[in-house]
Amino acid sequence: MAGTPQTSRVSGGGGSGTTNDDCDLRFRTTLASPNREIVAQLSVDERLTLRRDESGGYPIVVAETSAGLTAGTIVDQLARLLECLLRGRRFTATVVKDPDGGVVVVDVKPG
Amino acid sequence: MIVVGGAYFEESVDPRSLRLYGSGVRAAAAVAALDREVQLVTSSEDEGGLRSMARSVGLQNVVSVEREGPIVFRYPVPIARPYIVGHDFRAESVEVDGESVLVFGMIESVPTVRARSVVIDPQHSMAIGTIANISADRKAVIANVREIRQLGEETDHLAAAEGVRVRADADVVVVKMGAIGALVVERADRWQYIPPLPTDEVWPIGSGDSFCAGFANAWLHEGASAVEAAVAGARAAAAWCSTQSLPLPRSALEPGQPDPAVPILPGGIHVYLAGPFFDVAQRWLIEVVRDALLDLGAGVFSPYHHVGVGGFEVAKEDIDGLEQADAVLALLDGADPGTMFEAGWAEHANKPVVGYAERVDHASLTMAGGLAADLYEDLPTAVYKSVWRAMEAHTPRHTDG
Repeated sequence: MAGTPQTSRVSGGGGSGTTNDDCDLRFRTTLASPNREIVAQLSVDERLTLRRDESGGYPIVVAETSAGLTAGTIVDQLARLLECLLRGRRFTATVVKDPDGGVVVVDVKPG
Repeated sequence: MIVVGGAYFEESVDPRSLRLYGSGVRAAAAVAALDREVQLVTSSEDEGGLRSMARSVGLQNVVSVEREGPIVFRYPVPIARPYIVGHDFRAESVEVDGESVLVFGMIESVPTVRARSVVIDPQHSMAIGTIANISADRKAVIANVREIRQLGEETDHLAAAEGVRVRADADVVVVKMGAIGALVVERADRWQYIPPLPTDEVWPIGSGDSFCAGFANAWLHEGASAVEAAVAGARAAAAWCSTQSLPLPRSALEPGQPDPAVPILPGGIHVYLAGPFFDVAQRWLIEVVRDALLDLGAGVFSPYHHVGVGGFEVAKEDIDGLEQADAVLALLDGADPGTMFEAGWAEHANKPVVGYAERVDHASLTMAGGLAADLYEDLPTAVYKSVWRAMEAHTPRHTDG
C-alpha cells in the first residue's frame, strides 16, 4: 500500500536484529473485533491461522481457529501482513494467555 | 455520532508495534459496537489502507479527504513523548454539519464544524478562537492539563479551565490529568473530581482518545450529565489501556457516578524516581520516566535533576527527597547499589516501592522482589502503578507540586 511506513527491525525468538526478509514478522498483539463466542472457547497455546479476507470490498486479516471460525482481526502491521499474505506467506497467531473478557493476546510469527 | 479526527500511524519502537489509529480512528472504533451509525471524517494519503483498518475494527462509515502523505507518531517507548514524522503534510479542511459531533484537533488541517452538540479535544492543534468558532447549542471541551493551561493562559488549572470555558463559550470543560484522574469544571466554583480506574496493565498511547470517546458517547447520546459522562470516559480509557482491543464492549462505555475520593490535583502526590545515571542510556531513561510522571500528574523528586552528581554530601539531600515522597519508582535493571539502598530505605519507612526491571535478575533482586509491593517488566505499567500507589499512600501534607 502506498504511503505506509516501513520498519525493517525485527525481534523475537530470543534475540533481535535486522533482516532482509520483510515478511519475517514476529510480534505480540491483541485481536481486534473479537468474536466473543469463539474467543470464549480459546485456550493458551492454541494456534490460530491468519488469513486474508474481505470486508465491504476491502482486504483485512482475520485470525481463524482450526475449525475455520473467525476469532478476530489483526490490525498491527496490517499493511505489511496483507502484502505478505498476498505473496503466499503464512502466519500463525498463538494464544499466550487465557482469554479474559473477550481479550485475546497472541504471538504472531511466520509459519 | 460523527467523529472528526486524525488517522495517523502510531509506531512504538519498544515494544514493537505499528498501527493505523490516531484520535479519529480510535475514538470512532471505540464506540462502533454500541453506535453502528458512527461516522469517521478524516483525511488520508491511502484510502484503501484507511478503509482496511476501519473495517478491521468494525467501522463501516468513513469519509476521507486527500492528504499529502502519511503522518507517523513514533514513540521510542509508549510512555515517551512522540516524534511526529510528516507533520508538514497538509490536507483540505473537512467540513461537517451534524447533530452530535466529537471533534479532535488535526495536524494537517483545521476542521470546520457546525453541530447541535459537540465535544472538542483540541489536541495542541486548535487555538481558542477556533474552538469558539465551532457553533453548537451544547459544547464540551476536553483537554489535558498542559493544553488547558496554554489555552486558558493561566498556570492554575482551575482558573485556566474556567478561562477556556468562558472564552470557548462552552458548557463544561473536562481536564484530563493523566493517571490521577480528571476534573469536570462547570464553573470556577463548581467542579467535580473523577478518580482514575487503575488497571493491571497499561498501554498509554491513546488513553485520552478513549476517554473522549466514552465521554462523548454518554454526553451526546445517552443523556448523561457531564460528571456521569466523565465516568464513562474513565471506564473507556481503562478498558483501552488494559486490552488494546477495539471496539470497546458496552460495559466500558456506561456512564455512572464517580466513586467518592479525596481530589488529587496535579502535583498533589510525589514520586521519588530512583535509578542509576552513569551513562547516556541510563540518563535517557531517567529523563523519559521523569517527563512521563510529570505528564501523569505527579510531582517528581529525581536525584539526578534535584541533587545531581556529587560525593557523600548528596546522600542527605536524597534522603530528604525520599522522606517527602508518597511512593518510590525504582529502576532496577543492573541492580545499582544506590538504587537498591533507596528502595530499601523506602521499604523500611513504609513507603510503597514499585520496581521496574526489564531483565529480572533474581539473584540481585531477591530482597527488592521479596519486599517491594510491585515489580514489573513493562515500563508504562510500572510508571502508572507508581502514581497509583502514591495516591493510595498520600496524606494531605502535600497540596501542590
